[in-house]
Amino acid sequence: MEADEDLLIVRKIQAGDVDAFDALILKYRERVYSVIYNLTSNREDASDLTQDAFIKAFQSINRFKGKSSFFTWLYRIALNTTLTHLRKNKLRRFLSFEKMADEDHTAGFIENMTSESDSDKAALMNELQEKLNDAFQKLSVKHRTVITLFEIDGLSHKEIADITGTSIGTVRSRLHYAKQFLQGELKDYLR
Amino acid sequence: MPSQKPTPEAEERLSQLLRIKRQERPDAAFWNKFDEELRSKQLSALVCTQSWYERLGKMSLVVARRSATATAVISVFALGIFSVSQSEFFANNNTDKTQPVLAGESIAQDATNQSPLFIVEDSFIATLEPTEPVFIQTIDAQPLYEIHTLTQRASSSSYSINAATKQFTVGGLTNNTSLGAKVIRTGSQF
Repeated sequence: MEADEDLLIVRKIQAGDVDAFDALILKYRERVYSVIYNLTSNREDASDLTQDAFIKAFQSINRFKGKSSFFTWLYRIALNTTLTHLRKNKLRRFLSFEKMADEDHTAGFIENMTSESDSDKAALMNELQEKLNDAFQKLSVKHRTVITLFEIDGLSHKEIADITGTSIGTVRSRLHYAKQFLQGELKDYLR
Repeated sequence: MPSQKPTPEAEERLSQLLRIKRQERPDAAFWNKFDEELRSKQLSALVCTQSWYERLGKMSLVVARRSATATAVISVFALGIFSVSQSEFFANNNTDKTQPVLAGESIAQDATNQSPLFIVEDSFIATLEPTEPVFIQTIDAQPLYEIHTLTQRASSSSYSINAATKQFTVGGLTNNTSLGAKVIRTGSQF
């Protein structure tokens, strides 16, 4: 099981094998980065905050007792690091977007929206990315966190509740609100 | 808050749209740079050097956090002991300073601190009820005082009478013996 594998690695690190931490970085760096990026909509900040989260996890690995999974613990650290950053930089925020990877799913969605040329599709894709990120940033941090973890990272309600330290009911309620809000903001792209 | 209720189709469409955000992924070059920076930060964290005042500050914080309960318990004990000692101190001092001199006190002042304390209650014969036991003798219509020996305990509010009643007059002791103790007086006559 994944959690057991992680715990074995953690025990190795706790026993002094610090290089074993690389395996955990390699395993989770993209997911942690993705969550932080979708919360900040800034790729440079996301990169720094992801590194900070891993460093914090590394420094406090001896305090990890295995009561929750390593993944939940790491996500909590990443979220707290990001929330602290967002609170501190409330007034000087700017967005910088990540490149869109070419994937069948994305292409299919754009294909449905327009039958124009490739250049128009690329422009539409850029516009859509901007609108999506703008709409995300209009959400409160707690709603943004829940929708990111559910829709983009694909976590369950229970996992999100564990990470955010709330109840499943609260997660559902926040998710419902966030979806309604985004539907209103992105209605032009949902027809 | 938006008022429209999302239909399942609209929700599915929104989910598809949001999945586009999954494609916002950095390339390999980004991860190379990321790994390099992270490695460097990790090494810095391993050999992190702090100035003595930073370490002292952090250590004090940790000690304060960990010993909060113990400190609280010790403080309560210390406060309790202090209160008790203070109250005894005041009890002794009040007797010495605020009470006027009583007949036979010169004898009592010779007594050491370890001597038993006496409590003296003034009582005029005239004020006694006829039914009260007559243990105060009238000598030339002088007022008599009854004396009880007290044992001082830990608390100022806790005394017990452990000796038989003695009697003396304002002018001196009736049986010409030393009281051999401090005298604490009560009653309006003093």
